[in-house]
Amino acid sequence: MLDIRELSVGYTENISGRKVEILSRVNLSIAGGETLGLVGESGSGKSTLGYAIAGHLSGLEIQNGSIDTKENPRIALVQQNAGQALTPTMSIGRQLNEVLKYAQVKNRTEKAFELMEGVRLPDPKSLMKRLPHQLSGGQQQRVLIALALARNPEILVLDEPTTALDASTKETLLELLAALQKSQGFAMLIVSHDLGIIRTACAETAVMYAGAFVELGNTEKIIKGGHHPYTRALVEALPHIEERLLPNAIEGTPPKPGARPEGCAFAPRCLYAEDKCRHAVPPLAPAQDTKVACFFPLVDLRKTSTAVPEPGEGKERLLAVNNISVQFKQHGGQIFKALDDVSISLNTGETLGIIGESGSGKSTLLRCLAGLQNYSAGEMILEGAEDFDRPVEKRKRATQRRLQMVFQNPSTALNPNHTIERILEIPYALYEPKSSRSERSNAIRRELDLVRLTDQHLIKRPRELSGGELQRVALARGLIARPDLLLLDEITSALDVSVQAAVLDLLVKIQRSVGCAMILVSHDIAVMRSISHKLVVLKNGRIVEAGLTEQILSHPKEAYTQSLIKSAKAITA
Amino acid sequence: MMAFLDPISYYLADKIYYLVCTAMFITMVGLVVIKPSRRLLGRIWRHWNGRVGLCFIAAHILISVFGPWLIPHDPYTQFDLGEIARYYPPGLEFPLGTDDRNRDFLARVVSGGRAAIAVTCLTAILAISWGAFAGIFLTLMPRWVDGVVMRIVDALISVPWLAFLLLAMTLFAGARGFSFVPIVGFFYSLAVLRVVRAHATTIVALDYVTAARARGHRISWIAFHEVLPNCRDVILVELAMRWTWLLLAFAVASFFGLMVEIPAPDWSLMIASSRTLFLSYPYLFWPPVIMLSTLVIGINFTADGLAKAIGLDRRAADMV
Amino acid sequence: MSRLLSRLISALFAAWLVATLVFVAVSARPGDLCTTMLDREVADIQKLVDCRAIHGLDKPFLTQYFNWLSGMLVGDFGRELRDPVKAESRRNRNVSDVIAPALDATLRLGLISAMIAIPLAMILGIASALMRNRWSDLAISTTLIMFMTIPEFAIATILQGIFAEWLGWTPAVFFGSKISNSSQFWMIAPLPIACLSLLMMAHIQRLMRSSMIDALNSDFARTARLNGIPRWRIILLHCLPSALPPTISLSALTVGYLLSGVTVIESVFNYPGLGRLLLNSLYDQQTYLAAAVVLILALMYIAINFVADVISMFVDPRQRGAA
Ligand SMILES: Nc1ncnc2c1ncn2[C@@H]1O[C@H](COP(=O)(O)OP(=O)(O)OP(=O)(O)O)[C@@H](O)[C@H]1O
Ligand code: SF4
Ligand SMILES: [Mg+2]
Repeated sequence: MLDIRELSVGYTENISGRKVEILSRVNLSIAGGETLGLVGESGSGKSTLGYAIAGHLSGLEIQNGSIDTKENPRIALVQQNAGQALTPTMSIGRQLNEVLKYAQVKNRTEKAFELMEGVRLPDPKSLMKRLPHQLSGGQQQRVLIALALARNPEILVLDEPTTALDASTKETLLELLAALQKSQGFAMLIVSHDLGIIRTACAETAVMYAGAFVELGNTEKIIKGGHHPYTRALVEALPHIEERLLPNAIEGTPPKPGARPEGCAFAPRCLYAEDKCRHAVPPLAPAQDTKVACFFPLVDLRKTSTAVPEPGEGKERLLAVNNISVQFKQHGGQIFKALDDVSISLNTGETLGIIGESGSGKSTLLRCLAGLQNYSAGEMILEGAEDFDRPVEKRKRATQRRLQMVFQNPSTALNPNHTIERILEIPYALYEPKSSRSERSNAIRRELDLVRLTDQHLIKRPRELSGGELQRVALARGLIARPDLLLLDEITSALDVSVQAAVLDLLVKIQRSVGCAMILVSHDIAVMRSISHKLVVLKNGRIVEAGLTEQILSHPKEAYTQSLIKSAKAITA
Repeated sequence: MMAFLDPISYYLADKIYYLVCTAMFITMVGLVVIKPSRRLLGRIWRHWNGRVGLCFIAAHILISVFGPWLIPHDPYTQFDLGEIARYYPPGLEFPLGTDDRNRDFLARVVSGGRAAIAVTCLTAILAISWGAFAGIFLTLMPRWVDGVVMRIVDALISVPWLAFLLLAMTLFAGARGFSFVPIVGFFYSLAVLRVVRAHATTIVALDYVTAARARGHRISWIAFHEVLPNCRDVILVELAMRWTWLLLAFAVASFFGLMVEIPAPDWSLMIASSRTLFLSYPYLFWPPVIMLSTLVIGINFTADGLAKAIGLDRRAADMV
Repeated sequence: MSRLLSRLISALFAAWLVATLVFVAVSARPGDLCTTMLDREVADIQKLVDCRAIHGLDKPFLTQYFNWLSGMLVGDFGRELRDPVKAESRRNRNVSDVIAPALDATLRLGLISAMIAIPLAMILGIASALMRNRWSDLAISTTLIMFMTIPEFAIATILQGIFAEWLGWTPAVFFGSKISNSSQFWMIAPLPIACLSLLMMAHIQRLMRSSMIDALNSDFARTARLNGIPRWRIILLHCLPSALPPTISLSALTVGYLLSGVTVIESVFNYPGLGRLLLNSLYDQQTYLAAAVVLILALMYIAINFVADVISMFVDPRQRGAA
């Protein structure tokens, strides 16, 4: 059906005229009815390959190789970010109808209903009249798939189809795709950075690194025992949902297009690199049961993950939140309870995980603790601080200092105009106004050391650092105040798995050396399992279940917790 | 109540003009010499309109700083040329001819932008600093304060500035020249306020501002250290853009004879007085038009190039 | 609907605030109406007192304010004063009688220019967005920018020179105090209309161009392309509806500047509209007249912005849905 040979895609730089490769020498073939998964970290060129197949390379050119298909194939591509990919000013019905019209379908209304039902959208009649922004993220994604299916494609390319969805919606969407494929027989290419969904949906998988395939083969074999060092590292970087183990990080960052090293692109980060790797590019060649682009494919299967330490003895009560409620007024005067009668407690040196779907009130709880959100009922007690129940600007400096917050997206959490040195200096100068210059610079260096960054980073600005480095700076900024409690709001969800692993590892080490307590908010059960001691499950602003992490995850009592764990397990590696 | 300001003192405008020109000249040299700004200039230069703009501005600065030294005549001297009492045609002695009082037109054209540049520069700075200040602080205020103030701003912005300027001038006879600065400056600051506020709103929503609030910084600290630096680009582009519109506004007011006293050279006044002679003495009409337009285009295009270089959506900064 | 209502309320609030502002400006000047008026005559206390009684200036400030405001509501803008004492004198006409024909003339001028300039500018804007950064885009954009950066009085003069004086197609300026019939209007109007249209077009074309480029580069335009929708449909049905509303509301905002342009153009062509009236009242020290004209111009601006909002609500179903 589709046969790609030695495909290189890139662009020519405006001024220098230099050719930059984004994809280099990709070989690929899919037959009808097959599903191929494409995994890789952000920027590895996955989307570019998708667009190349669909024949829509805006601003890029094919520099080498060819894409062979049978004559006039019908290829449909479902884009990343469903929210922005539907025309905002046109109703769903009209968009479907239009596509059907140009696909020369006769009974358009009937076919439209059929498609809507095909992607299992509830109540198609009323949905047809709605505008895209009146649908939920999952519904938008399904409309986009329906639009793609309207032309009865032979090849369907899906770019990150599940990123914006929560676990249970993810699961249903993947099932839906499998069912559609069975009934219509198209070939499918699923592009994702998430090994979990690839494993659920695809029989064959290609692992991409720096614009090239590094391994290609059976999905199970790749995940259970990949032979390329990168594949192996990627799998080991995933947090485990079944065991309390810390994932392993991959040091370094992937190279950008145009700055890729000679020889094997992975060599600078590879633990097994030798001289040969730095000079010659390894071809994608069969090695045991998969195809691998490596001179020294790995054979043995070893596991190197480490266990997480339990908090030490001598714990004291640090924080207690009793029966807190937060209400928002909505349009039309209704009252919406973001938090309803929530209580938590935390001892020194412990990590508390808060888990729940989006909209369950996780971040609101953190904002309450940080004094950024007023609450309508309940009390909050921080040992040794009598002004903790006030908003942050009314708290004493000493109290403000004891509680620091780290945010989800490191690229918006750091002021792009400040150097890293300034970013770290600001909180220190705030809490230690009388400190001398040398004291400040000592403190900054100490913190950098703690998060494993170097002096070189001091003069840089946020845009010059990678996502993982930024999140470390953000952590250091919180730690420089030497807080008793660190609030971490989804701090790993904007990061690639390999980077996430490094940050989780860092958190455990920090807690051991500094001894602060942490509250970690996340929607990822596996992340929770690897580092939190206690767990709280939130749903619609209420606590569903609370207790020790191990206990809850191995013996969940409530049905909701069980279903969360089940759908998480269904789509993890 | 008193009139806003004394009638324009051309002397004062002249001094300010020299300050502005010297400052611009030094800035120009500085921009080229200092490395980061040279990089910015380079990025502006990459866009064709930035290139045209920079060339025009540089030409204007060079003309205004060195022009008076190179031209032998003074813009005020009335020459006695025997039979030809006025409108001496262009020649070696008077490259652009002479005007209705037989003054050297080239000298007048070269110094004809002084009042305009001085007054509009002051106005632009006033409008920008006040508008940006208010715009940034509004976003950090409680929601209702922001709501009330924006309603008032929306209402005030509907007053056509020229009409209001004219009205103020009927009411306060003698309020000429520099009263342009507070009145027009105020109305333009409303537009700046809207643009800066719109941008600052997106910044205040970002986590680093939340982080600063959670750490316990005061609002004024946050405004100056976290929000202002990130609005700098917008403010810079606004400054340049407003300045071009202000130059045009000044030209209009001056055309109505509201800005400078008669003998002083001013491009708009020159255009106004040679308007009827457009066909018979084109050399008295085109030079001031070209000077004024190239200055406006120069600043406008540079702002455009700047906006493109720093990747800003320029639509919001369009004239309002 | 509630959205429309809240827009209406804020428009009314704006109108009130502007009226108040104008009133405060009028009453805050040194002296009052009568001292200014009587300046040229012998300073006679009795005359001053009479004059103040006639115009209600002896009443308390707030009463004056409410009288003025209620006068505005019924279209009574006070009197055009030549002789401050003899209110019945032939020359002391009601301000509203003077304004009505001028308003009519300006509205005619403005509406016709708008009907020519707005569609044309939008088409040009879309065209240059489609051909962005090619020579035709460059040509369109630069030409229009030229018209934006040359002061309007210079453009007016150039047009006058070419079409009236050189070619002799139209009269250069209007003679007389008001336009009495439509053939007279069409004699004088073409050049002012051309000027005003050129002034408007540059802004609208720029706005349209950049909004359209954004829409063309958007993800949804790409989806439509990927799904095999023909190009013209993508442009007209997918991109235009999201590119139009920002263009409409931003162009309406630039109207404030254009209203100043009207003043200039009217004075160059001696066209008997509001702008010329404003200037004349300025030279004649006709305070009430000037205040009324300023107020009317501001109200026009408010009305235009309100209409623009309503139009974008119709174009963009997202806004309609929220209404
Ligand atoms: N038109 C373009 N011009 C220049 N560079 C481009 C262009 N399109 C993509 N790139 C670069 O090519 C690289 C690969 O992009 P691509 O979108 O394919 O990555 P991806 O693997 O899909 O990443 P993500 O997981 O973030 O979606 C990136 O570094 C990107 O910046
Ligand atoms: S070729 Fe060498 S550097 Fe590349 S992955 Fe294999 S061992 Fe590592
Ligand atoms: Mg992608």
